[in-house]
Amino acid sequence: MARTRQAKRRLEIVVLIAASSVLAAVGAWRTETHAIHGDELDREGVAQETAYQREQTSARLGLVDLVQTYAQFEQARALSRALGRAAAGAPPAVAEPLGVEAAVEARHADALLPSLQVDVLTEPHLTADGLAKKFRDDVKFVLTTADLDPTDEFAASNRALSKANQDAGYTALAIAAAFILTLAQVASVRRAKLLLGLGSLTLAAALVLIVGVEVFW
Amino acid sequence: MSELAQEPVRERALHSRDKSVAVLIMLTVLAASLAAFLQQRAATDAVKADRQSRIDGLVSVEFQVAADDADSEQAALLHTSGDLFDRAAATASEGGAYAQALAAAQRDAASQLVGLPASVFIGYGLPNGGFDDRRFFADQIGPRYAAEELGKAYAQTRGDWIKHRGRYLAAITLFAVAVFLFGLTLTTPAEARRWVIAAGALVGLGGLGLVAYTSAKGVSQPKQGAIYAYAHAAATSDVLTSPVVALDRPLFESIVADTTRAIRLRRDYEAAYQLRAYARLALDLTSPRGPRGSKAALADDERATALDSRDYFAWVDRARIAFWLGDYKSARAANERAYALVKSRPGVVLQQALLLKLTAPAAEYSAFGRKVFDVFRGNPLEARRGALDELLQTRDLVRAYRPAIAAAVDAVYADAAAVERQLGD
Repeated sequence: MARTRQAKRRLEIVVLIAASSVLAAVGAWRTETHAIHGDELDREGVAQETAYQREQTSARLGLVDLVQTYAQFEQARALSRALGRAAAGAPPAVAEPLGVEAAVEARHADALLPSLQVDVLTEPHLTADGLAKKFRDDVKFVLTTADLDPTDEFAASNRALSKANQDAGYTALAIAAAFILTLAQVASVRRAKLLLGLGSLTLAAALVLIVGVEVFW
Repeated sequence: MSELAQEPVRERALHSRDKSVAVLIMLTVLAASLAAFLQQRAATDAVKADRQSRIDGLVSVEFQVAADDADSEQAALLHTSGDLFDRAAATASEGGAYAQALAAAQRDAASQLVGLPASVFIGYGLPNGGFDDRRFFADQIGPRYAAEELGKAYAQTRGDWIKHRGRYLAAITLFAVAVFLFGLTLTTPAEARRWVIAAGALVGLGGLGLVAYTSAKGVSQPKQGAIYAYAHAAATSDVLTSPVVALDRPLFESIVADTTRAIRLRRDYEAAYQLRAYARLALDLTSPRGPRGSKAALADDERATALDSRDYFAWVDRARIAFWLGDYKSARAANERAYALVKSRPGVVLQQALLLKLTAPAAEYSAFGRKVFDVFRGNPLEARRGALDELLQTRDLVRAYRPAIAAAVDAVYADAAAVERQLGD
C-alpha cells in the first residue's frame, strides 16, 4: 500500500518536472518574443525621433529667413527715418531727392512688414524669446500634422523589454521548481513530501507570474 | 555466492550516483537559467543605452544646425549697420551736396543699427555697443558638445552591456558543456565516471565564476556633470583663434577651470585631459614672460595619450609641449606617433621637419623636405597657411626666448615658405 503511494508520488513528481520544463520553455519563448518586439518598437521610436529632429532643423531654417527679412526691414526703416531727418534740414535741391529716397525706403519697409509674422514681433521688434516661441509653435504645429513624437513607442518598448526581463526571471523560477522536484525525487520519503510541496508552490508561482506578465501587466 | 551478494549493493550505489548526477544536472540548468536571466537584462539595458546614444547623436547634429543658424541670424543683424557704413563710404566718395547728405543719412542709420543684434539677443551686448559674437557662438555650440559627449558615453555603456551579455552567453555555454558531461556519466565505464563528473563540476564552476565576475564588474554610466563641464570648455575652444593670442588668455583659463572640473568628476576623461593640455600650452605660449614649457600640460597629455594612444591631437600637442620644455628628443618621439597616425596634415609635417632639424643629421632633414612638399601639395591653401602661421609664431617666440636654436628654426621656416612659394607659382 505504502509502496503504491510512493510510486504514485514519484509519478506526480515526474509529471510536475515535465510541467516545469514545459513552462520554462514557454517562458523562454515569451522572453524572446517580448525582446524582439521591444527592439522593433525602439527602432520605430528612433526613426520618429530622426524625423522629429529633421523637422526641427527645417523650422530653424525658417527662423533664419525670418531674421534676415527682419534685418532688411530694420535697415529700410532706419534708413527711411535718417533720410527723412536729413531731408528736413537740407536745402530744397537736396531735400527733394532725399525725401524721395526716404519714401522708397519706407515703402520697402512696409512691403517687408507683412512677411514678418506679427506673433513674433512686438511694436514690431524681434526678440530671442519671440524667436524661441515661434520655433516652439512651428514644431508644435508639425507635431499635429504627423506622428513624430516617439514617447509612446519608447514607453511601449520599455514595457516590452521589461516583460522580457520578467519572463526570463520567471523562467528561472520554473527551472528552480524543476530542480526542487528533482531533489524530491531522490530524497527520503519525509523530505520528499516537503520538497514536493515546495516544488509545486514554486511551479505554481512561476505559472501565475508568467501568465500575469502576458495577461495583466 | 559472494559475487551474487555484492550485486544489489553495486546496484544501489549506482542508483545513488545516478540520483546525484540528476541533481547536478538540474543544479547546472538552474545556474544556466539564472545566467540567461542576467543575459536578458544586459541585452535590455544595451538596447536602452543604444537608443540614448543614437538620440544624442541626432540631437548633437540638431544643436550644430541651431548654433550655425543662430550665428547666421546675428550675422544678418550685424550686417545691417556694416552694410550701411560701407554704402556711406562709397556714396561720400562721389562728391556733391546730395551725395554728402545721403552719406550722412546712411551713417546716421548705420549708427542706429549697431546695437541691433544685442537688442534681439539680449545679454551679449558689449560696452562699446557692439556684439560679443564669440561668447554668443560658444553658448550656442555648447549643447552640441554636451549631446555629442553624452552620445559617446551612452555608446560606451552599451558596449559594456554587450560585453556583459557576451560573458553571460559564454557562461551558459559552459553550463551546457557541464550538463553534457554529467549526462555522459550514464554511458561511460564506471571507473571513468568520477573523472567525468569532476570535469563537469569544474566546467560548471567555471561558468559560475564567470557569472559572478560579470555581475560584480560594473558598467560605465555617463557622468553628466563631467560632460557639461567639458562641453563648456570645448565650446569655448571653438571660438579661439589660431595661432593662439594673448587676448584669449581669459578663455584659456576658463577652459582649464572647466576641464579641471570635468576631470575631478571623471578621472579617465581623455578628451578633457587633451583639452586642458592644449589650454595650458596656450597659456604658456602667450605668457608675458615668454614660453617656459608647462610640465602640467605635459602631464595632461601623457595621461591623454595613455588613455587613448590613437589621439592624434594629444600627440601633436605633447610634441609641442616637450619642445618648449627643451626636450627635443621626446618632442620628436611624440610627433612621430602623431605622424604615424596622420601623415597628411601640414602642421604635423612642419613640426616633424623642425624636430628633425634639431635632432637628426642634416641629410635626414633634407630628405624629409620632399615629404613636406608632397603634403603641402595635397592640402588646401587655408590648411597650409594655418601651419605656416603656427611655425611663424614658433619662430618669433624662439627668436625672442630661445636664441640658441633660432637659426635652425629660421632655416625650417625659410624652407617651408619656399615650398609654399613654389606651390603658389
